Amino acid sequence: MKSILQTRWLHWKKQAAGLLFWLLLPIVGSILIHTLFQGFQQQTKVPVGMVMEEKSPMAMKLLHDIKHSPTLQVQVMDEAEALHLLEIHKLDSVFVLHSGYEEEIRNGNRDELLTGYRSNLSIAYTPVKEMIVSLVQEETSRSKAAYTIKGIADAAGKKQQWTWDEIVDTSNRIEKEENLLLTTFSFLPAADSLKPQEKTTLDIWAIWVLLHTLVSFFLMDWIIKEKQSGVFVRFSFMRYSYRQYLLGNALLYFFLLYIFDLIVAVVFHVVLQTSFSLYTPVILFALQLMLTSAGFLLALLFKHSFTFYSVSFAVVLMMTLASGSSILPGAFGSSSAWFLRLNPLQNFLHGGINYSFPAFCLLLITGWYFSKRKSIY
Amino acid sequence: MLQLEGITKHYGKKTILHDISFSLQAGEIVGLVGENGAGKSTLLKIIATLDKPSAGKLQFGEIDMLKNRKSARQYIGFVPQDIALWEELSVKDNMRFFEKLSWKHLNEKQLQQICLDMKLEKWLEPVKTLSGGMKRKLNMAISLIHDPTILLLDEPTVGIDLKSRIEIGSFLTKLAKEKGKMIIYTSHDMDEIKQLCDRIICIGSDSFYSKVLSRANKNIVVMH
Repeated sequence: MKSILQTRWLHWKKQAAGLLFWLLLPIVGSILIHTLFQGFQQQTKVPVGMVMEEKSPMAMKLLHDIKHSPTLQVQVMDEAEALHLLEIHKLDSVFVLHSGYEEEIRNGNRDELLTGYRSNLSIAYTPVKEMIVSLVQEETSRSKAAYTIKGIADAAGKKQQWTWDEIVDTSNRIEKEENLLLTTFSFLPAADSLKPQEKTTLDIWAIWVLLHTLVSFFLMDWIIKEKQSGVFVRFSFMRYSYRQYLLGNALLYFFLLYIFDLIVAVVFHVVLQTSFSLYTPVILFALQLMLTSAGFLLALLFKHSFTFYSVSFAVVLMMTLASGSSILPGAFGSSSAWFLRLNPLQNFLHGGINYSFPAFCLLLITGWYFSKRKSIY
Repeated sequence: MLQLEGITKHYGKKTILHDISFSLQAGEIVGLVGENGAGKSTLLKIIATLDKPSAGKLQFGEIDMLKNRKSARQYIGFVPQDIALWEELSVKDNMRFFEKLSWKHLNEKQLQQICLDMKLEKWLEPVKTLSGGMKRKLNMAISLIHDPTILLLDEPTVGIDLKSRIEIGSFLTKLAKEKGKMIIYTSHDMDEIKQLCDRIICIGSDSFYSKVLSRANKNIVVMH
């Protein structure tokens, strides 16, 4: 194996720039696409000004909730500046949260808590207002419920008395814990599931795995190029058979790509705060094993690089279509579930390992290795 | 001694080689001639154990070459008709590449010496920039890395200049006479064959080659 590594190294030295380009393409490409998409999403958000006359915990919670709306770009500023920006149409609408907000909520009063401003070009004033009103409504309802629970407890003569804050805190906690309607994409264990605000963004791992699949296939073109060179005739007079040489090299490509997979996981974790656990290297190992073996088998089938590239591209295109629901959740309906199940990347996209496809590829490779040679080269 | 006995090869109903028998001693150069399609390359491939004969025996010393292909191949150096090199790598890297996979390990100096013996001095040049003659020399040099006893050359001088032909010819003569290698050589160049080979074997029914070669003071055998 050392000898095969040394011979491959001679090629890699010559192809260093090209090799590096292909190895870095998935990571750079996926970050670029992700950033561009996020930038585009930012551009399409409605700019809203918030004037906070009160900074009580309840007021800040409301601000937090509004800020995390995927369609709003919220800027906190003073009233004069906000109205000026509204006047020159830099803001769609402005909302002023008046002082005494928390106290009014605690008292169950939901009138005149906020003031909204809009211009003649405001397009999102009404839906934003409705959203903010619903958030305020939620808080007042919670407050009312707290008073009701307190009243019931008092009427029942319970010894243990709960404060308003305790009831509201418990209500908030239960809402968070039992968020049954929330379904999130998760690359790795449930604990690492994405935050709700990230749900509508492109999934970085899904973009990466498609680019990486394409690169893993394309990098196997050495098999075709070396077949064309006619050098294989020499392997009959060497220590290694041509098949051993091919397999040894495929193994080297596997390890090279796997090292880059691990680098990608670390970079995504550091730059994009994606999850990284002890399970990550295992998932990536299984993925790379599948991609390398599939690319290897595909390359063995072709004599011309162009046909190989075209077929590889078509295969990745099919995978992209089949992975659509993971790239953008909701892109496919449940009727296409059978189609999605055929996608060998589906398990990876859901944080799991595909055992059957790599096993099938390895079986085919074993069959190829031990099959009767057509020629005795 | 390399011995061929009754080597016959059929492709379907067509007989390419029929009952070819000859032997080769250490230090001897044998030329294989014949018209295109006569079976020279097929015979060379059979001797190289790259093709199986339909009938016959192939023996090298104690080794039955048809039964023990793997061990027989350690003694064979095969120079293919087509250039089998890594075009983007240098002469040095080509030699190093094949040395790493070879039965025998040589250091860089020894590898370079093989090239120098063949008057291939452009050690660091990429193969793609070499002339046809230089490429042919490297094609041959690689086949010599594991120091084979039998050297099989399939038209090694095709399409190259006279200077390179002479250099290759004198190198092969030196290899046979000084190092005792057995060399089998195919070519269409009758002058080269007459000059280089101790013995000439005409393959095929065409008597043209035997007539052309008859004036040469050589041992000529005609086989069908």
